[in-house]
Amino acid sequence: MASKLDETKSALVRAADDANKIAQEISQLGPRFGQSVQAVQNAIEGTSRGEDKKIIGILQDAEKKAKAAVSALEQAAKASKQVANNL
Amino acid sequence: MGSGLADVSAKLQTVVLDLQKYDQLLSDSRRALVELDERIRGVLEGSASGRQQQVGIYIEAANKHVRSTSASIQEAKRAANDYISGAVNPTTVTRSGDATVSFSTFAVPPTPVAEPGTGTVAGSAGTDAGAAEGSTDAAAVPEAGGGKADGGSPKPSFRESMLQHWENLPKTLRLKNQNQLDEAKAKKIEDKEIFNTRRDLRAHFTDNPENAFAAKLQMRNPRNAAMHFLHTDDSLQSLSNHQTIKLLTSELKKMESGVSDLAGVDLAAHRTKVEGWLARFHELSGTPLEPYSPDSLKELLALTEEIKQEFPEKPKVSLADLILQADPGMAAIYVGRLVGTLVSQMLTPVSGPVGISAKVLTKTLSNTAMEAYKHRHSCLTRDKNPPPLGKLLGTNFVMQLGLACAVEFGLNRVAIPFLRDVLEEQGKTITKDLLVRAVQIGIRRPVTPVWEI
Repeated sequence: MASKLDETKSALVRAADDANKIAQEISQLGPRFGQSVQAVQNAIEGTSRGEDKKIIGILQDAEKKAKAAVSALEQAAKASKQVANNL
Repeated sequence: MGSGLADVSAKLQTVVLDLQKYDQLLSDSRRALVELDERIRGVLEGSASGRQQQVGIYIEAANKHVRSTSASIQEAKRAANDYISGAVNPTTVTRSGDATVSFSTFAVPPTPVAEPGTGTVAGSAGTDAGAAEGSTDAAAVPEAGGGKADGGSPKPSFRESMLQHWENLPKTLRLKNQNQLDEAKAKKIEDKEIFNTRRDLRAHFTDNPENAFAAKLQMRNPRNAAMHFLHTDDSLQSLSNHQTIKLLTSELKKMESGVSDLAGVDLAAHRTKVEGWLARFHELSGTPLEPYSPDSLKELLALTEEIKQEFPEKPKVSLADLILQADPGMAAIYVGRLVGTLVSQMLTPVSGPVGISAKVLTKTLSNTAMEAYKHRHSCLTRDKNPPPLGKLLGTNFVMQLGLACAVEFGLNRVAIPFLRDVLEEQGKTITKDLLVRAVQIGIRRPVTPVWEI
């Protein structure tokens, strides 16, 4: 039994690590989204039909969603570790 | 390329490529999350703990956010690609400060970024040159033209633009425009001739107070009367000649009421007789452009004499008035023919109720004759734009008279002796070539003269 519990704990810890790892990868997009927003502004800022604002809005929305995903993954990792610790 | 628009396109393409990398990263993350979710579900399967369930909920939420992020990236890519494609679509894209700059002129290569591994382009990539939609084949992309979206090249001048526009017009449209220009030019000349005619007529009426006709006009309403006459002169250039005659005769009737020879004439009583004349004229004249035969001409002259005897003291316009009562629509035609017949007898000064000089009367009547010819020609050919004889010949009444007579009497039989007499009386000469040219203009067909001047 003890070994199975350890296996579960280990699995949860690994899951937490994996979640953190995925979160880190996704979090790398944060500044990149910012760079893309800047690039769009440099390229077509102030278009009469607002294409630049549209694209930038989409990118900023994507950045928020990515941050939410990172946050959810961090929460998942934290919860997973807590579960592992409480086993 | 070197244009700002090309730079814009390149920058946006870079953004799209970056977004493609983000999407790839998110795709890897999604796969990892799916695997992690399955693993955690396996680890926590059967667990009733709220904390344990919370882990699954977080993972699921993370997965949802990642998918949503990926969807947003796809949307951003589409928007960027649409912008790039739209750059070759006229009036689609403008930049602030570049109001109404059309990018169609600049032919920016539409190179939306292809989906990875598919070889197809997200969105449409249509071009003016018909570059393949959805194709990434560089050969289908037109060469980039010069650009000015960023203020690089000077804007073509208005003149250059119009010349280019002219060059780009279809040939038929160019010809149409040229014809319109020619017509406008001809009309300008024509207007000048009409103006000169008006001036001459005005001078005649105002500078000859002793002229009985002018005096009568001035007694009534000189200006209106003169304008009526001038209007008549102008209208003689139009198709509504019978209306013109109506106006003139109506005006004359008003002026002459009580003293005119027309007073007391029972027009209705003459109606049948006039109708009979019209019928005989029609029968005698035959095809208008064919010379009368000597016999028919003889009979025509006899008929004219008969009409003259019927109204020995009446102004010739009164004769027109009578005919108008019978058949206003055809009156101008026959009036013209009558005038052509009678005009030779009007070259001597006319002293009568009208009192108008032979010169003016002859000119007026010859105009009438020609307009009658035009009207007749129009009726026969159903041509809405009959030859503008009087206009082409200007105000040279001798030429008009000659042409009218040439047409009315027959080109080779009667006209030339008559013309010769006219010219001698007027102390003018006319060359054979000029006469031939005038007649050719008048009848719109070549003439082979057999006469001798």
